[in-house]
Parts: sequence; structure tokens; C-alpha cells
Amino acid sequence: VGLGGRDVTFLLAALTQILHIVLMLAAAPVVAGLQAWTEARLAGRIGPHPWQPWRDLARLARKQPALAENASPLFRIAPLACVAAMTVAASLVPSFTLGMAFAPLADLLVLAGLLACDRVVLALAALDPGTAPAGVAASRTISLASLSEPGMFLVLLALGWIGGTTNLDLLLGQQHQGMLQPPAAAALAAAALAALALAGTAPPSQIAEFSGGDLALIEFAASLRMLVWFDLIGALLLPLGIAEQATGPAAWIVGLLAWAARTLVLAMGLAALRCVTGWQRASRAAQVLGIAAVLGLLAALLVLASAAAA
Amino acid sequence: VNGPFLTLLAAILAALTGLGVIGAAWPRRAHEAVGFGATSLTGLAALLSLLALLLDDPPAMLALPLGLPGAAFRLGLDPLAAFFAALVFAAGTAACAFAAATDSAAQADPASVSAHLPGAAQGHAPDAAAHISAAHISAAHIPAAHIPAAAPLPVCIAGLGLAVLATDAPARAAGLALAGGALWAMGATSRAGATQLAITLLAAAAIVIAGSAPAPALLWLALLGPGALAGLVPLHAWLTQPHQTPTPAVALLSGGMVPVAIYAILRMLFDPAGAVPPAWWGALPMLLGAASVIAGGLDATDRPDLDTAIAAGTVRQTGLTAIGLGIALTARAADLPAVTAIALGAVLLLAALQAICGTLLPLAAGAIRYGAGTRQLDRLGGLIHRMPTTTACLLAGLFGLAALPPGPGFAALWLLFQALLALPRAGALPFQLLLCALAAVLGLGAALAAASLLRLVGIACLGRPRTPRAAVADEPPRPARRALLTLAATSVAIGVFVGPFLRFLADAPIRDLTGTGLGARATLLGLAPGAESPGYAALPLTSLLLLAAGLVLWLRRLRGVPAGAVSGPAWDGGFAAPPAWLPFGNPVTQSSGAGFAPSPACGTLFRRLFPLRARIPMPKIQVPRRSIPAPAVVLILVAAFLALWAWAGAT
Repeated sequence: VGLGGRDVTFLLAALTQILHIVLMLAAAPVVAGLQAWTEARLAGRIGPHPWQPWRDLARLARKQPALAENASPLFRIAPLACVAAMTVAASLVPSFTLGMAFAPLADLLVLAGLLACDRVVLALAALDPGTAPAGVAASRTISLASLSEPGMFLVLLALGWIGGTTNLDLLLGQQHQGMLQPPAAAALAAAALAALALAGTAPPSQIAEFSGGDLALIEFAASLRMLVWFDLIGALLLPLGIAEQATGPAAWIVGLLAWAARTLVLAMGLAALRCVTGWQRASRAAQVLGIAAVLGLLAALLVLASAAAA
Repeated sequence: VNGPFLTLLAAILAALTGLGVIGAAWPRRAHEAVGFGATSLTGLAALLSLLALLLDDPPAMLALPLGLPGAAFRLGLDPLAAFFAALVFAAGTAACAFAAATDSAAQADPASVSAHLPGAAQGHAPDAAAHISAAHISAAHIPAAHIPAAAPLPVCIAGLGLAVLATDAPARAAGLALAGGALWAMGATSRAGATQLAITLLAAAAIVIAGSAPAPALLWLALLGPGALAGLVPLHAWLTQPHQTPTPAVALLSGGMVPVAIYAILRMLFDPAGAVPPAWWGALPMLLGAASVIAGGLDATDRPDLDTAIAAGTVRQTGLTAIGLGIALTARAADLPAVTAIALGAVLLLAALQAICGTLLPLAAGAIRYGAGTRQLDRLGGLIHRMPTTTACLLAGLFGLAALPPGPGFAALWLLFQALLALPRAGALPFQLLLCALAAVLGLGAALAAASLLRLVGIACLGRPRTPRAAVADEPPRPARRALLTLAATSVAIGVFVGPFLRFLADAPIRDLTGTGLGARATLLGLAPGAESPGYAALPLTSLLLLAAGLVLWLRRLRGVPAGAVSGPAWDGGFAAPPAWLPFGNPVTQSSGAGFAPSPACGTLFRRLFPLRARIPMPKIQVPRRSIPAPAVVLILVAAFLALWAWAGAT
């Protein structure tokens, strides 16, 4: 059976998609572990081994969950929904290559929506047992979201204006070829995203009451969320080395190395920033989100200004 | 031209009016028959309109043997009318089915209802309820036994149907007035009911005046007349007043009246035969819409009642619709037909959501008000255990309105954003800055919708019961649950199959309004901004989400993890379990409805600009002044500089 050019392209796209998903799923806990390790080292502690999140996940997954007496079926569904949303989000954000099979689905608004879904489901599950700390955490999450979403949409507007599309794959392809003009706007947009990630994924994920396999899923979803942010920002800021569509395994390996370097820098940089500045405070998070919104506005204005000057 | 569909629809309108008369004449005996007849007739009308739309029935016209001298009432059925008729009749069917189910339950056991209301056994129950200070006592349900709620309901639907099918302004206004009057009759003589009637008559008057008004006045008439009826900002406060109106009437007001108001605005502003309006026309709906999104969204996150919070959500949705209308008007003036089509697709989708979720939410709130005896969030809680179906339906309705994929609200937001992205070619720099602001408002609206979902479901349905009454809440009767579930399933289906929905139902109306349909922008899989470009693929996304969840479940089973879970006292951060005399735990350790989702910065700013409530004098506490952080100042200065630079470049 002869294979046409389209078939080969499709097979390659499917293959890279599967490799990408496996890579993301495997790497997410390791990246979280690296972050914890960096933070501990900077604080003068030995810190857990970077594999520790994987060990924790394996241990938790074997355990039977213990539910609060008042928990409803929603409490069991929530971890599944979170992991599903984050797995899909992670499968849409390119890592080592462009032009994967799901590239047509990778809309930036969809990504933002999946992140919002994850947040809402988690907050609903937090309210379910009716305990005080989780309720406060849910309330805070949703208040911060009303600050971060306007900034997010401004960033998306700027990116959509300069790229003419909201599809992440097309945008990254243009960025890779240096066609996202003006480059400063793209950089500002990526910086705004970084600020959003910084404030939006602040550690207190102590939405307690989860245990056993459910807790494993929740932690896994949290590490995936972090990795999605790193991929998004890294690819927009430094798309160096990312493989183009339908290139061979050699280009993939280059892309993989570039991705690993990018992610490593971002993860350790974020951990260092947290250590130095103490972003954990909620009031700080609101400030950072405000700055992210202003950065997004700047990106949009820069696009308009350069269009007017041209 | 006389089409069979239109003739049948006209006959149904007449029959509905007749049912109303019968119901008013024999309130007790004809009660069940009227309820059953109205439900099935309205359902039939919804099916007929849907069929006319799907079969691409040629536009039909029918003169009625009534009307004013010199202005006979004429009915017409073109795709846009068929689309909105299907929406209104679908909302009406659900409201009728719910009313019939709860009414017959109350007839079977009137004592259970009137026992709650001293002095309400005789006379007008809503009056008595309005005078009872404890507003949480159920009024959703009382009218059944005492006033013929079944009678005005079909008349209201007939009026709404007339308003949609009428081709002339006077007939449309008459239909609207009829519907408003019927709603007023159901809400009895409360002040909220009177305000609602006044606003309906205002909208009707605006429609009549617009029939002969010069073109420049049309925009103002549309936004202040039908716009007010839909809850657009300067005249939105009436919609969120606390009221004692029975549940089906509230559902028809939000799920029937509001779409009809949107329909009237579309008819007034998008006259295919008229001249293309000037470009600035688009800016006004955008501004009013943005204000509505912010005002309604913030309001929906801190109203103490379930139903006023839901009504505030309607204001937010109307704001989104107005933004869509503004984008469509601007794109039309700039001769960008594709963008107009996308924006109108968003408008029609939002109208459909208002008809489906806007009916579902008041009905679910009514079921809660009846089943748990209150509508105050702070007296509810834990309903998911006693009312699982109602909780699921409330969640589905709020999810439908929130911008969360793969829900239908997300598709509407996606369309709005794509239309916004395609617009900057249409105007000068100040206009482009407005677009930036609109993008931020869309984001804020999405966040506030999610916050409203979380607050209403989280406080009312999750957690522990806050009162003993909420702990013994009961589901509504089975037929009423069936109506709720049907609406919820429709909302979910529209979200997943949003491409086919727009392709088969909204394409023909949009083509009529602008000359260009959505075409290849709405496919089986989802939506796209252009014919060949990737977009929002709703169906594949849903399948992927389900696949991922299924894989996790399968892996869990594969590893032999025990499926069940042990149950015990909540961990609660390590605090001791509450004493035995607090069977539902300590009530003050649970999140309450008040101040649950304050949006820190913009909420305070907005409330400082528009103080909506009385200020409570608080003791003065010396708080150190917080200054604006230096980086923010620098960034704002740079932004101002860039804006100036862009301005200089533009001129």
C-alpha cells in the first residue's frame, strides 16, 4: 500500500501528538519536583528529590480515599474533571514540535477556558464538604480570577491582532519565523502571561479534604497546570529550536532539548522569584495580576501604535 | 403568500388565548385541562417553528381579521421570526409544564402550602405573602390553590408569540403589551409587577414610535425601549428587584420576554431594506453593553437571594448581547459582512441561551424556593443531597451561561471575541481603544459568570445545610423535574453541537439580515473565524475531555485501586468535630452568601463610582494608606505615552 504525502503528514502529526502527550504527562510531576527542590535549596534546606512527586503519586494512588461525611458525588467527579481538563490543555500546547494532530484544536481562548474550568471545578469541590479553610480558598481563587481574566483577554487580543488568529499553533509558527510583528508586543504579551502564571498558580492549593487516589489526581492536575503555563510562556518568549511541521526525528530531538532547557529555566526561575519576593501573599497576587493586566494593555497598545505608524 | 406553518401557528395563538379565557372563567374545574392543553399546544408551536426553520419554508404572510382601523394585524414567518418563535415557545412549554406539575401537586395537598401562611388561606395569596416580613416563605407555589395562575400563562405565551410573528410595529407592540399584562396579572398587584408592566408598555410604545420615526432616533428608541425590557444598563434595576411573582411568570419574563426584546431590537436596527447606519451607531450599544456586563456581573456575585442573583445574571447576558449588536452594527457600517455574520451568530446564540437557561434557572430557583422554603442563600446549603436533580439542573443552567468550555456560553464568547479581533480596521484610534476595553470587559464578564456559578451552586447546593428547613428540602414533583432536565439537556447539547446549531438554525436568519450567512464558519465539528482556518472545535474537545476522564477511570480500575471510599468526619484543617448539639456543624464556620466573591479592585472602584446601597457607619480604624506600587505607576505612564504616540501617528 503506497502512502501519499498527506497520509505521511497525518501519521507524523499523530505520532508527535502521542509522543507529546506522553512527554507532558511524564514531565509534569518532575517539573513540580524540580521547583520544590529549587525553593528548598534557596531556603537553605536539602529539599526533596525531584522524583518525589512521582513517588507521592504512586503512594497516594494505591490508597483508598477517605471522604468527609458530607461529601457529595460531585466531590468524586471533581478530580477526574480537573485531570481531564488539564490533560487536554497539556496536549494542546506544543512542546518540541509544531503541527501536531490536535493543532487545529489549540485555540488560545479554549486554553484559557480549560484553565478556568479547572479552577471552577476545584473551587466547587472545595465548597462541597462545607469546611472553613477550603471555602476561604475557593472564595479567594474566584476573586483573583476576576482580576486575572481581563488581563488574559487583553493578552489574547494583542496576540490575535499581531498574528491574525487565536490558534496557538499558527501563532507559534509565525513567532518561530520571526513574523509576529512588532516583536516587542509579543514579548510584552508573554511577560503578561508570565505574571498571570506567577499569581494564578500560587502554591496554596491546600484545598483540603481530598485524600488517596483523589488527592493524587488533584496534585497531578496541579503539576500539569504549571507545565501548561511554562510551555505557553516558553514557546512564546523563546521559540528557538522548536521543530516545524513534518520534520524528522533529528529535529524533534533538537526541539526536545530546547524545550527541556526552556522549561528548566522557567521552573527554576519561578521558584527563585517566589523565594526572593514571597509572592504567596494574596495581596501581592492581586498586585501582580494588576501589573499583568497593564502589560497586556501595553502589548495591545503597542500593536495599535505600530499599525498607526506604519 | 399563505404557508401551512403560519396558519397553524396563528391557530395555536388563538387557541392559547381561548385556553386563557376558559382558565379564567372556571379556575378550579378547568385547571388541569388548561395546564395540559397549554403545555401541549405550546410544545407543538415550538416544533412547528423549528420545522419551518429547518425546512427553509418560504416566507409566509397572513392577515388577521382584527386590528385597528387602517392597520390590520398581519403575521409573517421568515427565518428570523421562526428562530425566535421556536425559542419563545420552547421557553413557554417548559414554564407551562412546570406550572401544571407544581399546581396539581399543590391542589392535591393545599394544606401543606397554606399552613405556612397565616391569613393567606383566603383572598389573594401573593398579597398576603408580600406583607409577610419573612420574605423567604414560599410564594412560588401558593397561587396555584387560590388564584388561577394557569389562566394568564397561555395568554402571556400567545402575546409573546404575536410579538414575534407580527410584521407591523403596532401588532408587535400589542403582543408585547398583552404578554406584559398577563405577567402582571400573575404577579398580582405587587410593586415589582407594576414596574414590569410599565417597562413593557414603554418598550411597546418605543416599538410603535419607531415604526414612523426618522432613522437617527431608531437607535435610542431601540436601546431605551426593548433594551430596557431586556435589562440594558440605564434601565436595568427593575429586573433585579425583589419580588413575589410566581415562578412560571419569572421564567417567562426572563426566558420569553428578554429574547423577544432582543428580537425587537434586531428588527428595528437591522432593516435589510433600510440605509446602512452610520459607524458611530455601534459604539453606543458597546458602551451600554459593557456597563451592563460589569454592573450585572458584579450584582450577580453579591445578591443575597437566589432569584435576584439570577436576574442580575440576565443583565450581564443582555450586556454581552448588546456588545454583539454593537460589533455587528459597526461591521455593517464598515462593510465587513463576514464580521457582521459572526457577531450576529453570537447574538442569536446568546438569545437562544437566554431562552433555554434563562427559563431553566428561574424554574430551578423556584423549585428550591418551594422545596427548601426559602430563597435566601444564607438559609440554604447542602441541597445536593436532598435535591440532586434540581442541583444538577441549576448547575447546568449556570454552566450554560458561564464561559466555560464546552458549554454554549463559551461558544458565544468565542464568537464575540473573534468578531472583536476582526474589527480594528473599522475605526480610528479612540475606537480601537474601545475595543481593548471591550476585550477586558469580556474577560471580566467571563470571570464574573464563573464566580456567580460558584457562589450560587456552592452556597445553595453544596456544603452543609444552614437551617433545619434546608436539611429536609424536597425535590419538585416528577413532571416538573422532567421539564427542568429537558431544558438542561438542551443547553448541554447546544454547547456540544454549537456548529450544527448555528449552521442549521441561525444561518438562514443571519443571511436574511446581512446578505451573508455563516457558511463554512459553522461546521459539524464547531466554529471557525474563516472558511479554512482552525477555530473552536466543540465536539472534538468534548470527546477529548470524555476520553481523558475515561482513561483515568480505566487506569484506576486496572491498578486494582479499591473503587469505593470510606466516609468519616471532615478533616477541616485539623479542627475538632462540632459537638453533638450542632447536628450540621457550626454554622458560622461555613462560607456564607454575603461577600463570597468580591472582585477586589474593580468591585470597589465600581461601587465607589456608583454606590448602590446604604452605607453602614463603621467605627473609624486607622489604616495606613497604601500607595500605588511604583512599577504600576511606571507601566501606566508608559501606556499613556504609547497611546499619545499612537495618536500622533494616526493623525
